[in-house]
Amino acid sequence: MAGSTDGNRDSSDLLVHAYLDGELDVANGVAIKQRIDSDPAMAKQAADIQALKEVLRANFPTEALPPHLKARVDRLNRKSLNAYRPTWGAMAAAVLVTLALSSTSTWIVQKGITSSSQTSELLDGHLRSLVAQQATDVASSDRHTVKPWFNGKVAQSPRVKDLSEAGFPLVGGRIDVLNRVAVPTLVYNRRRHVISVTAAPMVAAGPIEDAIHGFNVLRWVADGMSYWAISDLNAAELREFARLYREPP
Amino acid sequence: MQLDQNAKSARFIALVQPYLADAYTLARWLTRNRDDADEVLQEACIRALAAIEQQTGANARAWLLAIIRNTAYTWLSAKKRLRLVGLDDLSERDLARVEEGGAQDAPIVDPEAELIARANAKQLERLISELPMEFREALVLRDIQGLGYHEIAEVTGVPVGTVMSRLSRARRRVIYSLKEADA
Repeated sequence: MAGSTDGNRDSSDLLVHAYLDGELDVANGVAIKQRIDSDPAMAKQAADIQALKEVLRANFPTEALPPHLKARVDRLNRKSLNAYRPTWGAMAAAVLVTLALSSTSTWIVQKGITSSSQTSELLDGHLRSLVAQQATDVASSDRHTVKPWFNGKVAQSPRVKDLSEAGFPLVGGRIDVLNRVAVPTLVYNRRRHVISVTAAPMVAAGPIEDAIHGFNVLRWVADGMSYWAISDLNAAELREFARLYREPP
Repeated sequence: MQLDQNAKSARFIALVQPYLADAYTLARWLTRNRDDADEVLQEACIRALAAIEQQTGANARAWLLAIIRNTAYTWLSAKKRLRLVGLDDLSERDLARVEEGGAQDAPIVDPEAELIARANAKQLERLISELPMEFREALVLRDIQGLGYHEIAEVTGVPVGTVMSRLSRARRRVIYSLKEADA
């Protein structure tokens, strides 16, 4: 499309697919439908994708499991049932395994309560923003626009730093919800990767570094706030981003 | 909590059995061979049985399909049939080229939608089989098995954004090849 960058073309391409797959929310769906209706090239693309989806569905209906396999799986399941004749030794071993397992899982669950539930809420926000047409509610590379935008929407505006010189341009900001409280999220780019930085009233002390579903997550504490940086960017560059973001202005 | 064998067996019937046809379909598309698919399905069922205690029942289908996928990858690499480079083996630069498009990518063309609609099963099967593994699984999971983006992300262990990008590349390649074949 003349006048639009490759990035725009690529993201609108993904949105056409997401629209036809029923993966967009109503607002974004309506927006992309209007663009398809008004842009012949996009309409053509949508028609091609739709035709492919239909021809695939028509040609490859779900096949039942072949009988020989059904029998094999049934045997497998029955065998696991019958073959098990516990001896005292095996039972003692099972008790030990159970003890080991239960102490590990308790630890995991406790750890989960303090840190991962917030992280996964924020990860959801990040994911939603990737599927949505815009990753931000306010789109601006100017920190003097983004910072005031948060006023009145969240309890405390986050630190907004200009890191474009370092290759992390500011894209905008949005509001995420954490523990049912609105919290500010800043969105930066690194090449084609989106970085979400969320600031929230301090929930837990201590930094964490984690990888969840292919996303890298960093958390740190500064000025009495907890900060999360989430991105599919590699861990080393995300750490570099966090270091620059945290540096005093 | 340790389930006894009866409870495990009952769980297997409740959680795995309903999705065996789906599991087999995915195994066939990934291995491109019915005999291999048989073995992968059987091996995956053994793994599923072994892990059935950890499965809570939340999205059992995605859970089983993820096991099928992992089993198929292991099976194929053991058989050295994974002739296509996996995306994990690529350098970051190459990865960016593959994921984000580049010289080797099919150009955006505009074949007639009717031409696509006329494609037959044999032709489609060949084109899908020729797709790189990561693109193929995205297309099969979405367009043949009907999973949502988040489910595909769960099965394939990559972010939703990556699923979207792989799916669009896969479809674009198939559409392009149909156009080429007609020309």
